[in-house]
Amino acid sequence: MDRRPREMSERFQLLGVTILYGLGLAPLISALHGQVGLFIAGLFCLHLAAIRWPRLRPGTFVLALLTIAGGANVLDSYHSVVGQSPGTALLVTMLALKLLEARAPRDLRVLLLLFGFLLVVQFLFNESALLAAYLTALLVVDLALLLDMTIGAGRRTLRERVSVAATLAGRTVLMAAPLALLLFFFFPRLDAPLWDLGLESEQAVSGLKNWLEPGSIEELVVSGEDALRVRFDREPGIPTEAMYWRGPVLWHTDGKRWLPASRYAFPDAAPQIEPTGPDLGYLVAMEPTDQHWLIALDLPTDYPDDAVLTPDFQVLSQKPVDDFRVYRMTSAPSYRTTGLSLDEETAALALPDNVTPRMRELVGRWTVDDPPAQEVVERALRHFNREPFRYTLLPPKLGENMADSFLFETRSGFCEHYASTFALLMRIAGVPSRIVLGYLGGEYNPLSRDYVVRQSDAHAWTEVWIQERGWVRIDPTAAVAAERVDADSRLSSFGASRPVRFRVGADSGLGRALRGLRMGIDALEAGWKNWVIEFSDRKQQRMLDYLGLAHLRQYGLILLLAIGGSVVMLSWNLFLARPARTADPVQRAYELFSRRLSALGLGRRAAEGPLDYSNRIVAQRPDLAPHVEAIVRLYLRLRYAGEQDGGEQIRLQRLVDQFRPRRR
Amino acid sequence: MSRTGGGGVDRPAAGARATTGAPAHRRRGRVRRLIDRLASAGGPPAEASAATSARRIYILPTRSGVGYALVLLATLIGALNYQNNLALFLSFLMISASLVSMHQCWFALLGLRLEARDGVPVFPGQTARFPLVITDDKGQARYGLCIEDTPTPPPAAPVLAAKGHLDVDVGRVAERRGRLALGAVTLATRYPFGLFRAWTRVPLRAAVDVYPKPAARAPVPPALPAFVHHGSGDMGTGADDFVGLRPYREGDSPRQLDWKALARERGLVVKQFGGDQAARVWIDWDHTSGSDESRLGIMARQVLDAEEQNLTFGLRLPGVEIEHGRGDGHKHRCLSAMARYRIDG
Repeated sequence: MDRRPREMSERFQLLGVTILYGLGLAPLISALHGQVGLFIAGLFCLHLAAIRWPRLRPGTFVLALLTIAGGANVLDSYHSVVGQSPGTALLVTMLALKLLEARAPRDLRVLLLLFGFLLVVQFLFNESALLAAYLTALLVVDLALLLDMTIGAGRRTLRERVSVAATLAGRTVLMAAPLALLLFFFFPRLDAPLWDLGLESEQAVSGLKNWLEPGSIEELVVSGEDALRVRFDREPGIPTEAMYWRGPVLWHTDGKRWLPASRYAFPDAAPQIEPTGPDLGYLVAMEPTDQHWLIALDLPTDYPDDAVLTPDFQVLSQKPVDDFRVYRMTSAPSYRTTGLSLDEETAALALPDNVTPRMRELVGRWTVDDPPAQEVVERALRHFNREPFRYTLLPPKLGENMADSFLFETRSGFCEHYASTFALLMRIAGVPSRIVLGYLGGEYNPLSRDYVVRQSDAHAWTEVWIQERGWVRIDPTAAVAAERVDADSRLSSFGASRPVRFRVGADSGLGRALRGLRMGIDALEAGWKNWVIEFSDRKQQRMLDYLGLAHLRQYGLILLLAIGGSVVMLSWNLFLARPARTADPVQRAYELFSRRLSALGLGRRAAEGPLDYSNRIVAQRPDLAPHVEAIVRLYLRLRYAGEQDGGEQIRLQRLVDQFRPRRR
Repeated sequence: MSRTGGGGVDRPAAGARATTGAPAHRRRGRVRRLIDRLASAGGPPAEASAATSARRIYILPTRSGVGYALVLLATLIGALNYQNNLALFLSFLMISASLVSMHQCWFALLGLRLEARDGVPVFPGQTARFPLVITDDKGQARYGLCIEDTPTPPPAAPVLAAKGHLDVDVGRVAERRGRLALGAVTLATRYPFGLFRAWTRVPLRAAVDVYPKPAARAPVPPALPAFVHHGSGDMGTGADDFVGLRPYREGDSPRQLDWKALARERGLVVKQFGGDQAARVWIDWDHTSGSDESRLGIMARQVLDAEEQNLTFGLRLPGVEIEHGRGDGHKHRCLSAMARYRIDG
């Protein structure tokens, strides 16, 4: 590599590229394996030191050693070099090595071009809007450095270089934005990956479990994360307090933990759902759960093609939901069901072996006159309402026999306690029962017109079998008297841990403001998720549908892309080719004057002076003589006689403005 | 970038430097040469001043551009495959920025006016420098403009301000005696990101005289027997004998400055020379023999020698006669006459 003296002046560019890479590497370090992150940080520090003390710059041999070490480090951390994380780790290690090696301007240019990789791989680990904004800013810096390198330093000061490069690169990116958006929305997407590089989701997914035991919902209730976003086709017509989002159904209990039935546990089951009201269609965007179920409004009647409806009305997809997923559902909010097979009934009546005598005695009081099942349910609910049961998110510690101590000692708890105890009591009374896990309610966002269901809305309720009506949803938590809802939870009515049933209205002004803010952020997040993260080939098709081009399929996209791209680029070309606006108002008026005349075929010839021009016009169109002569005289005076009178300028402008020669 | 003055003409170092830099355009790719060849057929006649024309601005990706295209293709395929919309958007943004930069690159050459002037005469083997003024007609600042087909392209690209003008030099290696025409000038730019190179060839009318290549040595021309004495002498404008000192006036040759006086802080003082005792010679075509070019070479050497020895000399070519004279101007007048001698044949 030849080293010319001017390369020494490129120190600024070397520093610029170094800072750019530092900023670009920073968000990635934490996403990679600690060992790889450390290695890259080490390389970066060595590079920084080598800028300050050039003797520290490693030679070819050391670089080769470092390259081998970097590869081995990745292999040691991930036991692989293919796949999302190991591949990224290898790429980033190699980029850091290239940075360390950079000497000549050519190396810097290569680094700036390769920076595109560093920008794009980040989104495999984080898809936040903030990161997107940050990386777009880095792209501008990248292009600015490239521009500075291309146009050369010249004799400009550092400050001039920075401002010119930043302005021009920023302008280019702004000009690129419309085309990029167009490409984003209309560029045909792949509906299946070309190859599988091992898309992995390493993060633990928070969400519902498919079992219930004390504490399993509690951890969700303190989580403010979103679980679902729902958009109804029409006004749902049911209050949010009645929106029961159905998840796993639990049948078996050992007295402590409730578990679901196996999918093929009830081969004879043939339940039927008979809607008793209008259907409700809606779109659900569900966060990944790593589980099979697709959350649906009670009770689902129509569901995606790749899913099945189990006999206990769960919608299970074929593959676990390991990525953000959007699906369509139809539900019947009011319904009755029929068909209870014998093995279902047996399972729904099975009792654990820790039922205590006082529990049997309590149930015995309700069943003494052998009332219908409906009556038993109502008596039990009345018990929860009249006795001093409290709703609290901070229940006291329960004894070994959870149901017993909850019923007779602590009488404090939340949905998981109420649901599991109620289901048990019903079974003792001979009423088939099961527990349903899911979410209750949701927050309507008027900005995005979505319902947001959060993890904190997780809920557990029961279903009991009543002849003639089938499985009936009973929510024993709702039976607790409102005045016994724990005041503690009221304090945190903004946070995640508010009790669903007893949502306290935002009564203070601050509360309303905070609520509005949160709604706004929610709407933004929903838009981000809906239009950016989750934009897919299906949404493209829907967009085409909206434009009436659905029948063109992918060709429609290409057509729109071609048309839109041409329009955008043509307008930029017109913008770039725009004639310079004459700064001098006198000259501008004179140009307008000759433009008006040239529309009549009396255009000013090149290098024709004002007087010659005026004489020629008057010779051809004597009728225009007074106007033309007045204008030209005034122009000459302003232009050449050093007249500086602002009033005269305005007079010229007005004369030209009023000069509208007609064709003869 | 400095314009070489007339003094550089007879310094052999200038010529030696020129030969080291191979013309940049010879190294360029086949496609570009093809385009240039196609473009050079037809086209406007050369004028002293010409504007860049939209129909004659060409653009091709550079090596950086092709490399970046590969990077972007990789990110695009990766983003499509991983169905990662943000990665896809950033790829699209980079692609769009490159496309926009292509248009910016092309438009960076539009609306420029080039004006060339005749350069200072040179000897064969030296580089003739044509002063060129690039003016922006469009009210748009231009960065990274580059005159490429010059033996030593300037290292730092100058900035052309909006509505401003830029003075540059175009070099052409003079190969043989005669009039060296500037021909077309290749104006190029890689603005803004170096991903594309746009160029245009603007035909410009400007020329320099290329003097005959002086022979290595030449016979001393016979001195004239008649010596005409001018009674008054030439009052200190000659260069022969020291006459006295006078204060510096603008335009005085630095050779005549009394540097020692300057060092003694007596200000700028010029040494005056006088004397008309110089010998008068004719440098005559008829006194030489050989081919036309070798005759001219010998005569050129005689002219240089005569000027060196401060002789008063005249020049005789078939059909041309230059009266006796002396000094730098006279020398160039004679050399120019030889440069233009029978060049159309």
